[in-house]
Amino acid sequence: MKQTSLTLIILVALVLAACSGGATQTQTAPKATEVPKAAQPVPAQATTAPAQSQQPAASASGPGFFKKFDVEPNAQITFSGWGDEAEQAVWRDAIARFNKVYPDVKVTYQPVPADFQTKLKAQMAANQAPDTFYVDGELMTAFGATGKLLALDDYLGQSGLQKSDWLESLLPVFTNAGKLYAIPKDFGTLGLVYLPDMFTAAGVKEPTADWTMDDLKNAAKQLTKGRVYGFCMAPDWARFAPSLFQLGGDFTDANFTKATFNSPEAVQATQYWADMKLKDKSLASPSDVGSGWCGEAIAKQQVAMTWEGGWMIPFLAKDFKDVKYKIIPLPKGAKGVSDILFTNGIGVNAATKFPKASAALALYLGSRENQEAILQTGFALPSTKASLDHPWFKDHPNEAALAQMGKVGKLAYWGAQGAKVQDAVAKSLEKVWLGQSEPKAALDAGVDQANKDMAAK
Amino acid sequence: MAAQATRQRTGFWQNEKARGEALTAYLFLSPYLIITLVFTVGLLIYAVYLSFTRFDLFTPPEWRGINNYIESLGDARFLRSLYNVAWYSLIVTPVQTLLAILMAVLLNAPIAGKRFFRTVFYAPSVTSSVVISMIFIWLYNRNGFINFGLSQLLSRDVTVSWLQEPRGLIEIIAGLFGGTIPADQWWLRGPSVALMAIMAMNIFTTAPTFMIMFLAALQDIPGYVYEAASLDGSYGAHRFVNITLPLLRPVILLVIVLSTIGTFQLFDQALLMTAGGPLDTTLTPTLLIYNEALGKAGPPRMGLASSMAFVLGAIIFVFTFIQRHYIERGTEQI
Repeated sequence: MKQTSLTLIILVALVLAACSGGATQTQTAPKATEVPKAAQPVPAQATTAPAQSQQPAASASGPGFFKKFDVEPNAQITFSGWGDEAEQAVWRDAIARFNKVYPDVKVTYQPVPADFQTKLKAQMAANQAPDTFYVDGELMTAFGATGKLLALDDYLGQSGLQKSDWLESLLPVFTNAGKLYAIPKDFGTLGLVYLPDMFTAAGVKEPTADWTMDDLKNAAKQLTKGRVYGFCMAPDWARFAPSLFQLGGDFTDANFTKATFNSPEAVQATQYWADMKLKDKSLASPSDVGSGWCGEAIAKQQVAMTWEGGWMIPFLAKDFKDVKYKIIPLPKGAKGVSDILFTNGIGVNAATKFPKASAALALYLGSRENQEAILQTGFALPSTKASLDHPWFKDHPNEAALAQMGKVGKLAYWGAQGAKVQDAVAKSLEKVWLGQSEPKAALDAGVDQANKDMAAK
Repeated sequence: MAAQATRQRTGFWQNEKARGEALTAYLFLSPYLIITLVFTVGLLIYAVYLSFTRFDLFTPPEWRGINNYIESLGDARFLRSLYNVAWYSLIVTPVQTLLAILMAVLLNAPIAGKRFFRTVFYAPSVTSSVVISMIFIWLYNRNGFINFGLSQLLSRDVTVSWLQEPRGLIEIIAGLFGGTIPADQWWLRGPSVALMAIMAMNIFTTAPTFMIMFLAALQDIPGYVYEAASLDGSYGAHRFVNITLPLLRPVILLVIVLSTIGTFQLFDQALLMTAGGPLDTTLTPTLLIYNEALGKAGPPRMGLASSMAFVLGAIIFVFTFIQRHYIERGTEQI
């Protein structure tokens, strides 16, 4: 009896799910308000044939290339990070590359597909944490100041690497009291994603690299027709940030002690989007068009433009092969072009039994040869400076546009309480998007909350 | 007499049989007892200590006195979460209790296919809340079934993003009469559409659990009471209000108390369906405690989280006490 009725329920649920059309799509896609992780769990395009890499392992030398140094004999270390199967394949290949350099170091890979940060904090509190692992802003905040991570500065020299081999703008999040605690394994940023066919159909000239914010606004207005919106943006701090940076503004002061996102620049940037959303009605939230995030709205051709990052590429390649799109740099603001950068790193447990081998693994994985090998699978953009002009980009203009933004972007990092600052920005924007509040009033309220949070001990 | 009593008392430990029985009882109790002592009582005491300290999980706790309590009572998010959950409890508790009684009475009546309906009604309660939440996310989706159904029903496009709509009930009602609520006065807005969507789901899943309790209580009411009532000319609604409901009073108390405690502790649905958003309108105290304790935004603040947990516990205790006082007073008269 019970079993039949349960079957019935499952059937009903399936029917309902089917009725809701594209709803399943919405759930698998990252929510727009979430910070896109540098390597959002997205399927890599070429992981089926990752061995195609032409890069001779370990034999290359130059800035950013790893030089072998002595480690503990017969070391056995563990490496852990989040990631779906595609991401896991990327790291299994990377560990194989590492083992060509260090054949006698045994690396056990322990992927944690969900709730990685919570699990790692619990493991760390119980002294059971892996030797090397992904470090993001949340983990750095928890571990960095409490001495749970190994400083990598000494090992940098031994491996012939230096901080300036990486995009230096990425390092502050992994730095505490002048020491570096994790190596940026890749980075993510935003570009202008658009559908060229919509521009042709509306008789609007396609965007170019020297577009300004005014051009964007005008084009969005002309492209808005019927159920199609010109531009898609959620009330999201990350997508909003570049429009503030390019006016010279920021969320906080340089020491992360005071929130500044109610500055005249911030009001101006917010007003810009509010006009598009409420006056021109050329800007849609993803929920306005029934999508989970703006990438999905582009995929379903509900909007002509949005600001999204590299995670769009495999997403579209997987489920929306027929959508023709282009990614170019963001338009310029009053003080030139800017962008926001996201990164995750690889750090070492301070309590590891094999500090040298673990540091070698972290440094190798973050080094140029490993990142360039991963680049060629299309999985992530390399955080090593010299890799941004890699020949691979010649055939991949979309990725190339994003790589160039890496050079001008600013890191999404506002100190230990940064997550609460970001949250306050997002809430202020949401009030404006809803028309509940004027930009200045909404931002003032947000700054009050953020200042309280930053003062909290 | 007195000497005999003393001998009996001391005799307990000397009497081998009695002692053996007691030890056996404790032996059988021990698995649960040890787990409770270590993982509930022990941790509870530790949490009391932590609530007076600053603790980031990794460095030793540092004494802070009552500062955590002062801070949590002044924390805008904590007050917001209490406000949300107060509305939640205020609406969910009476609705689900009434619904549970109604379903129990229906299923207690001699109707065909009673067993089938019992199973179907009860199924949501035995399904995992994670699974139910996932299904309801689809239903509440902008392209979801709820909007589809409403569109068919009202024959016009309904495009509400149920779980992303922060507008409050009072705000919407005020809006119908052309009123607006100033942006910073969130406490006047009432429960948001998103929160009400979670309420509806929770009523759907929890009411059947309480229905079972009422069903059991209904079957406990002896037939002769109804027989006597019918001799006195009491039937139908009159009998239900004057005989059935008063006899259900102890169970109603139990259900209301359990429901209040449960609603104040709303966690998994809020985490899965909205993560506290939009605009903190579905933020619940337990969700906030979880976020603070594990450092989901900023460094872990286990001490502050513990103090919030005890404030929440005190609030639940006070409500339970008041409810008990009012409802039980009535019970004793019968």
